[in-house]
Amino acid sequence: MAIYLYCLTEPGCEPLAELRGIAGERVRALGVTGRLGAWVSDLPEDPGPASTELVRVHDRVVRAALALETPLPARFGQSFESDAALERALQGRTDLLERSLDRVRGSVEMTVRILLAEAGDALPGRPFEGGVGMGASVESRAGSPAIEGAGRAYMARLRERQRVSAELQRQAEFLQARVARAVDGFARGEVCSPVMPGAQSIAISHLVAREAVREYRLAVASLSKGEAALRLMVSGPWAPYSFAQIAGE
Amino acid sequence: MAGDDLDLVSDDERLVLGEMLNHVLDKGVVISGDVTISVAGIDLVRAGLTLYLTSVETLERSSSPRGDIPVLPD
Repeated sequence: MAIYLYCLTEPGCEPLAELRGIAGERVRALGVTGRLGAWVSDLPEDPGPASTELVRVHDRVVRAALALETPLPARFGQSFESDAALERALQGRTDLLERSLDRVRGSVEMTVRILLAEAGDALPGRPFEGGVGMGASVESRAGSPAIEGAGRAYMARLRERQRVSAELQRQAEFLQARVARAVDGFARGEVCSPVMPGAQSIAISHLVAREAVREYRLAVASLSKGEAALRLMVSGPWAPYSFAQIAGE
Repeated sequence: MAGDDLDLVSDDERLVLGEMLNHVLDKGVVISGDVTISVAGIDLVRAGLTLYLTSVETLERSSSPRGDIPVLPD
């Protein structure tokens, strides 16, 4: 029987009997090693393509584990042929996973999302579509003024795109440093989302002691006091999704 | 298709949903190296991100005063 994986836990962390997972199957704990367990449910049939409902079910099960102790949440969508297949997949990585569990013990993930300023809006919308300038056309001949003008326009767009990307990166790094200072003392770890071209926001996730969540929120809130331009949103507590990566992924 | 039911939720719910999608679909430990997430799932990630940003823009236009920090429910 195939199984679906929700999270890795410390051994002895047992779900409530009524907890149901994907396809309404009962969630059960599987002992992997003396120091590592897993929450899984049987997967009697293909659950079909990903849907918001399936993602919600996955998160609900992980949250149930988080209510007991901090698990290592699994990324959505991982299934195995059997209990034994999961145990085989974990072989050779248990030390890393146990250390990861040690790291997140007693903590939760909090995420700050910050809206970036307007730099992204200045990005040329479709710089590589629809020709490269007003004068470009299929009838234009190489070396003609129209082609040269188009080349200059293309290079100008490229430079503007690079300038905007660099500006976004600088802005993100500046904000990340400000947030880091504000939560210094509360954050046991930090992960910042990469800044993609045209990004409108960045997400910074922190590993925070369970008992420090309120103070963390207050510290982040203090950042925007009197700063009209700084738009922040805090979410959490989450299971430590951003801190569950292991080497080699 | 992923995201079909997303029109039914309020802005705050969309914010929560967007963050949940970002966390559950894009992060977390990968054991198998063979994640059985379908192409529809990838669409879902994109839908989630778009949805999130749309919600943020809606929030910007709303009466929420600047400096407010919507704290998503536990």
